[in-house]
Amino acid sequence: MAKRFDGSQQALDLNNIRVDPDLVSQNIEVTLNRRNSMLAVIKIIEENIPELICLNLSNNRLYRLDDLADIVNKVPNLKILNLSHNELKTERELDKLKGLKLVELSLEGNPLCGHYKIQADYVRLVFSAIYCQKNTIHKYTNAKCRTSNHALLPYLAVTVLTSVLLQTQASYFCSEEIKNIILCFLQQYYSIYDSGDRQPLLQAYHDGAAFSLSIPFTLQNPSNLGEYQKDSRNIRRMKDDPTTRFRLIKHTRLNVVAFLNELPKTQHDIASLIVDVNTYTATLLAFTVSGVFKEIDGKSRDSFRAFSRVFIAVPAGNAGLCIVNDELFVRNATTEEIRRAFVAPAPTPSSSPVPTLSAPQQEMLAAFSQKSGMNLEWSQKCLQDNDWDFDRAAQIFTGLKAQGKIPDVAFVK
Amino acid sequence: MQTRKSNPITKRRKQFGSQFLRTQIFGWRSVKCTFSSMASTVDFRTLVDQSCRYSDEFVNIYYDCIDKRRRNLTRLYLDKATLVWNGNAVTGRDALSEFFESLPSSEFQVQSLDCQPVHEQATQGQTTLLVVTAGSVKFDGNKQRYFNQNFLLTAQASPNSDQPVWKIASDCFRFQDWAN
Repeated sequence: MAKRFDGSQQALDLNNIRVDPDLVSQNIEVTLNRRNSMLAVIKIIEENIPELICLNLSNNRLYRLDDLADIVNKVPNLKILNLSHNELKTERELDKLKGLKLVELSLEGNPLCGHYKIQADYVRLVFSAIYCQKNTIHKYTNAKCRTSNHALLPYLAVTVLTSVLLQTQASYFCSEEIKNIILCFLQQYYSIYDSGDRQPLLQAYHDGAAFSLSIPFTLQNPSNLGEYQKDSRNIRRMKDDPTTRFRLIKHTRLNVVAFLNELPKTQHDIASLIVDVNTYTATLLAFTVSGVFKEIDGKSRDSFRAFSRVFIAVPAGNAGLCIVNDELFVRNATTEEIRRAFVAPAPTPSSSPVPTLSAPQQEMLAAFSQKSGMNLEWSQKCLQDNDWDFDRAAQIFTGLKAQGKIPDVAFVK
Repeated sequence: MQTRKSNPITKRRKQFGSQFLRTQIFGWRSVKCTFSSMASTVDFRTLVDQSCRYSDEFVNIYYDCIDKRRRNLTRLYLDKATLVWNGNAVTGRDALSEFFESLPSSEFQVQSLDCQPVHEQATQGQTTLLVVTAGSVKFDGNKQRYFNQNFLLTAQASPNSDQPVWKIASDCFRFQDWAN
């Protein structure tokens, strides 16, 4: 076995081991499709090379993977597994490898390859069967899967597709130094941005800075993006109106900051910000920030928005940044995003001290909470806002709910 | 510094029509500044108009290419361009080539487009545009998803015409629901 092990790659090649001349000459039968053999091999791996990364089990007539299941626990670092040219008939066999965090998996030359006419289905099934970490699979190498019944199916694009698409990461900082510069900047930037007076942001912007904002354009009425709509710049919709197109781009830091100060007051979920560093040179750092914020005053108070914002900055002072271009895209946050936002403290509807309720009010509150499904905090807010008029509050509630304006946290009990 | 002066300016601006007053204000400023800054304020309007025209053209070409002529897509990128795709960095023509080849076929719908000329201090005089798009895309075998994307395009002199050739210096793409 030793000669089949490559220490530099932590790779063990057991391809067609049954016919290995050394083993045959010593009359040692290693038929991996038999339970005893497989278990023995796993034991040897576990005892000698448990950090194994790459295992080749091709050409071993494997028709089931039950006996291989132990490998999940005993060889946890396994990343590359070659099961090609075996006798696996169904992708459900791969269920037994649940828990392995594979980066590369080869399945070509197995009967299971031929079953699916629709490439996408096959890929989805294989993928879900493995339950591998979605973020770590880089590619499947079963590029070609031939059977007598089906034409050559271009699996490569399809299989890699799923893995590439599912391969999402959190922030991308190209270096530790840049990460620190950006995080420091964002910390300062958003603490001013959320403070209620954005005037101090003047220091962050270059004299010749430019800013514009955009929102999603759909044919349905996007009116619930409130304040952002009138200043949204979608140049495709302004081809005949270069004046507006120009007006909506704020130029010079005075204009930029004056405009930012007019936007609704916000509270950003700093912990959830995601940053992608687009590119950098000696004179330019471009990065994209995405995240979620809540509006804390105005007509759209308590609305959750999601945003994607591109900053282009030049270096300034001590590892600081000076913004030259700033583009903000705002949309409504999805239910999922709202659920995940501001995880630490549960948002309360009002910051003023809660007055003690009279008995009839408490009764009304309980009834309202039960009927609306909202928790007590939010039910109380609704009732208070409507002067404890049950019917009116109910009407308002139903109306808002129909418009989807009530955040999901209101229903969390 | 200049903070106090901004108030009278913005107040004045609000009283009159924008176009006329704009030249007035910048005219006033230019008295105090050198000719070069006056030139640059006139240029800004031109830069903005140009950036709108070029980015509109570019976006049409890019998304048509990625949907229908995927093999030609890398030609739109600079040799050393970077793509950050849902947090994964892909750098250089070869890696981009491999990446786009492995990406399944797509159907993009760009729903919004915004652009800005990038300040010359950042680009050392190399004319650059920031292009920001959003919309939905359906990759083969997957459900339709919303995305945000932004590009930095830089102008390269073309041997064939006096119009510049725009190439992608950087590309940043993320699904809006990337975390799911």
